[in-house]
Amino acid sequence: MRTGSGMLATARIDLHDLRMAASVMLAGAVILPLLPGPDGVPCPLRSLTGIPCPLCGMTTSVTAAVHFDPLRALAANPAGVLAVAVAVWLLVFRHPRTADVPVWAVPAALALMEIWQLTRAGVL
Amino acid sequence: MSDFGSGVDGGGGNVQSGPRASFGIRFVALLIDVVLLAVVGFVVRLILGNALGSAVNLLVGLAYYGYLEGSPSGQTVGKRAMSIRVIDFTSGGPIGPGRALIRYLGRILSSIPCLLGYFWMLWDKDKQTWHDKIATTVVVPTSAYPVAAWPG
Repeated sequence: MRTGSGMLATARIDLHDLRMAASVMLAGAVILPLLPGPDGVPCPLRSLTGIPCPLCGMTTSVTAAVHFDPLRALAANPAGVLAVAVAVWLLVFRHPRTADVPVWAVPAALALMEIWQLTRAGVL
Repeated sequence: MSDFGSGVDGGGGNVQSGPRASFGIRFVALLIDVVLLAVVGFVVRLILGNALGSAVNLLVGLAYYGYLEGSPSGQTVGKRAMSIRVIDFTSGGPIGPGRALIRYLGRILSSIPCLLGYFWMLWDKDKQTWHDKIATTVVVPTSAYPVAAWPG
């Protein structure tokens, strides 16, 4: 459901779904170092084009954050620390079933993350 | 043949406005399909070797999703197990193999930025992934959109 118009439009998101995804993310981050093989997930975009995507480094970052290594987490991708913080906040505290989020929020967050990636890669 | 449930069409105009399958349920359905295809893929590679095996596995995946998601039920094995199905966003009916193929190719796009297209459904107002948007589909629970036969 979308309310408002233009810049102020909001989308109603299902927090139950988001909490499920948050659990999967945190559980995955706990388990990942225990599994054999490399801990990283190669970014398909970067493999194909050399351009990092906004999520590059997130696996490392979230894993490090969950294992209480904030410096490594920040270095890999600062958004990972934020993601873990939001995930914990979503799971620990009670929340209503849905939330109204501004429609521009997610593309804006991704754009900021990509700017960080390109800056780190020396492109910007 | 029979009506596979055009579902709820409440005042939203010309799109299906009934309930959607949740992230968790879709994720489990995906896991089931991935494991199934991985097992098949493993056997294929054992028999045909790595190079030919990989090529055949690509076709197997295409055929699996194209046929099953394009069938009247719109259900892969995983989706059937989790009681969800793929339907056309507007009509609520099956999408046919052609669009199912397009949806499958759309998954590749969804995967390229580290599966962002999949996670997109978490904040999308219609709970569509990118491949849903490309194929104009939504994934819904069969409780609201019943299936008469599988694959139909």
